[in-house]
Amino acid sequence: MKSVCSKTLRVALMTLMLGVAPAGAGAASAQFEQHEVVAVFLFNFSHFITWPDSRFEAPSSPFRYCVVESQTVADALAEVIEGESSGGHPLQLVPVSGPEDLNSCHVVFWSEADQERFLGADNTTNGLTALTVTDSEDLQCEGAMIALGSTGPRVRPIINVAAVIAAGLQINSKLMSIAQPCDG
Amino acid sequence: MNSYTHDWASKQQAGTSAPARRVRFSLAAFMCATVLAAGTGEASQTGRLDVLKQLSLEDLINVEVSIANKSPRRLTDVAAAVFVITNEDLVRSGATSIPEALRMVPGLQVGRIDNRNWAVGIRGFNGRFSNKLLVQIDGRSIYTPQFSGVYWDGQDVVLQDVDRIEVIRGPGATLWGANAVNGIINIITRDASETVGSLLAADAGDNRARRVVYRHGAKLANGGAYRAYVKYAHQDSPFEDGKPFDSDQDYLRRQAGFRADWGGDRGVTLQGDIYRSRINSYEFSYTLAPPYQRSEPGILPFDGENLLLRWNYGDGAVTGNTLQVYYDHHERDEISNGALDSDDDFFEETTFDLDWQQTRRYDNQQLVWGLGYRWIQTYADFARDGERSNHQFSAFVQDEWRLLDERLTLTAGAKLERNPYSGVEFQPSLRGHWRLNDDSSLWAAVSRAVRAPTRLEQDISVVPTLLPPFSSSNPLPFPVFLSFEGDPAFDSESAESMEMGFRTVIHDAVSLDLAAFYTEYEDLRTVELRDPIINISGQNPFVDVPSSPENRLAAQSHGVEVAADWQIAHWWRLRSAYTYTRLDIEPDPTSTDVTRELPEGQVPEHQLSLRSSINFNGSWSLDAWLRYVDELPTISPTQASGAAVRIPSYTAMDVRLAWQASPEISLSLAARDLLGSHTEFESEFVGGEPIKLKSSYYAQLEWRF
Repeated sequence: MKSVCSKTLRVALMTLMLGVAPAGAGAASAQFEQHEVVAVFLFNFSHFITWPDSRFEAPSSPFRYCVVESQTVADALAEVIEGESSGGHPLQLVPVSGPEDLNSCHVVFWSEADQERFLGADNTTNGLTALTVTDSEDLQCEGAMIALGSTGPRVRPIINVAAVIAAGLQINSKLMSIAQPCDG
Repeated sequence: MNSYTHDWASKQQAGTSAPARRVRFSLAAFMCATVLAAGTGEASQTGRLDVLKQLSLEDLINVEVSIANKSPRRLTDVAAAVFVITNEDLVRSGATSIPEALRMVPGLQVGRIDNRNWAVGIRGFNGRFSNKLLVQIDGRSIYTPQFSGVYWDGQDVVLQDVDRIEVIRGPGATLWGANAVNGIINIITRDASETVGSLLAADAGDNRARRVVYRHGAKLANGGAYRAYVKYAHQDSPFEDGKPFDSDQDYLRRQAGFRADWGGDRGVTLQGDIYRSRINSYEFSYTLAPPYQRSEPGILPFDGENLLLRWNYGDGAVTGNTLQVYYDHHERDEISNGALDSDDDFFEETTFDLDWQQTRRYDNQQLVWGLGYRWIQTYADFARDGERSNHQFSAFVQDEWRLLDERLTLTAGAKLERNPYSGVEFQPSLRGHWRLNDDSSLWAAVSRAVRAPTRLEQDISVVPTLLPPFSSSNPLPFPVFLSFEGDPAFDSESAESMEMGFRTVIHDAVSLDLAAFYTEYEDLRTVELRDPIINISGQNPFVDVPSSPENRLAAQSHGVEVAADWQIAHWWRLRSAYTYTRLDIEPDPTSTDVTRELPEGQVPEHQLSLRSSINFNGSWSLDAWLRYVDELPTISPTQASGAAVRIPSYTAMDVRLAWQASPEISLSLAARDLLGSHTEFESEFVGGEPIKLKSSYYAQLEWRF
């Protein structure tokens, strides 16, 4: 038994040392936080949804993200989009201080907690031309155009297709294939 | 079809304690790791996000997020010993079959017998046909009703499409029904809406092992989704040469299936599989005249089909209903039927199952109740009656009370089940869960479960051994054979179990899950000798020494199971599982059981599993998995000394290196069973010397498009 145990320990140490080899390489843990996955979805939307050229001042003007209140999503998104661009438009996170700031945004995100405060009395987004996204659990075809709700441990986009098209945006079929349409 | 499965956190709990020897080992390893990890410094979040950015949309929707504060029922709130193998665990383990992955679960004993046969047991009582556990794939029971064991070589799934495998140790009969004596293994595949797109996975390794899977998934026009797959697998024996059942026993398997879902959690699921398998092996039979034993090369087929429909309806908030119906048929030829002068060894089972379950939620209560019906038709060449069919009925109710601001949860329930062999069985349980604070909880349970008699225990008729005349063990001038005859008087085996557990999370980085149990078994099966039959007047004289099953064994088992999960750094995770199991058996003094290798005794006292998962550079990952399994004693009831060692302890290691070359393509290399050849298990049903497992290697390519 003794020899087996010491062999076991040797191998364990070897395993652990293998683990040290790539130290500092900077990698990922298995478990992600919801806000991180949400931020990456927001980034992906810039590639899988097409905005008409008329929404940009110039071919090289920035693609603007606005994140209302949710600091964790904003921080993660800032990292994700750093140095990235879409169709020649550099991705940019712009600070939001009031509702008027949202008019220039291409993507507006607010968290579920802000839902009521954000929506107008008529439960709409008051004619924003941006793609509106929330992390609400369910999307009842009102409010935001896309809900990044989580079903169990996963984040899954639910899309109000009619609202996105009404805003003049085009959804790539790849995105449609993994998304769910909103209920009723 | 159970209430535990909903919303379990994918995050696993874990821990370490045990005999002093192991504790020192673990502490040394962990301290060593801490020191080394400290030197690496803190890395930024960027690495994590880079990994996410490189995922395809299909993969992104399958990323599991921490749901610690979202789920109404967390893993840590369950009053039972549970462990969940996630899809990621499964992939990163390098497992190419379900039993391989089960090795990571504390409290389980997994032993590979040969290239397709496995012994999988929970809390002891292991054997090729462990008969005290319930195994399900998507709610369809896969243990064979003829003898309650699982043909692991008859069961396969597309591992990439498995959502999770939930393992519940301890009696779970109140919700799940008979056979859930020592535990339940639930294999759950993904909803079709989560597998949209195509997948092509192929691997090849030594032993002429090759597997190819093609799966295609798409949305349906009416809001649903489907997937369909084909899978091909071939493998030679991964064992050292020169042993029986070795080189010619290659194993070929072809399987296809589909799953369609409409409406998510409150909708309809329709799924089915069909498989055709072949084993090149030998067929054995005994003869009363010379040569007494024949073995001829033969092709053994085993084929099966199943179809399942499940409908979840109700508002989901106050009432939820599940109606499930399935059909399952499989048939196979056995290597040896043990019948004299006959090659007939055909075996067939058809099951039709109907289950209905309702959950009702009240302010502080949740009531679950249900009804079940099962029709089983079986046929075996080696059964006296040939074909038989029977009906089984069951009803269960379970209520859960949440008290003291929901910190205390009490659950009481019982199941009544009527089977054709032992009549009505009563299987109650009482469970309590106490949340100490946000990070820690305690639970305890008392339950009773029954292993109902099986058809073959009632009417099997086989000759497991024939001793030729003038051989070393038979000096007589005519053959002596040992026959085994089923007995309709054979009754249920029962277990009463007390369990306790503790779970805690320390600094969001380490989680511990401890469970301890004490179980008393009564009326376990023994093999009792009958009066010999001497026939020396005929043309072929013989002596028959018959035996039959009776319920003359009692046993007690106790044990401790620990799972520890440590996120050392964001790129490095260590998980360990330690199992201590002790089984004491008490044969009836009047028992004539001569089974020297009683399968009931086959449990290693200590087992340890240590998994290291490392991600580096965003697209590379390295997994190493070390396993130690204590010696496997064989407890002979006829020996006063008790234990005789048969299979020595072993340490084995698996390593897997994977590279995500692009969002669509990943490559991996895996080596398994390193550190020398070893024997894991000797089957009570596969003859010859125990087979030595040697190292094997394979490479895998996965393409998602």
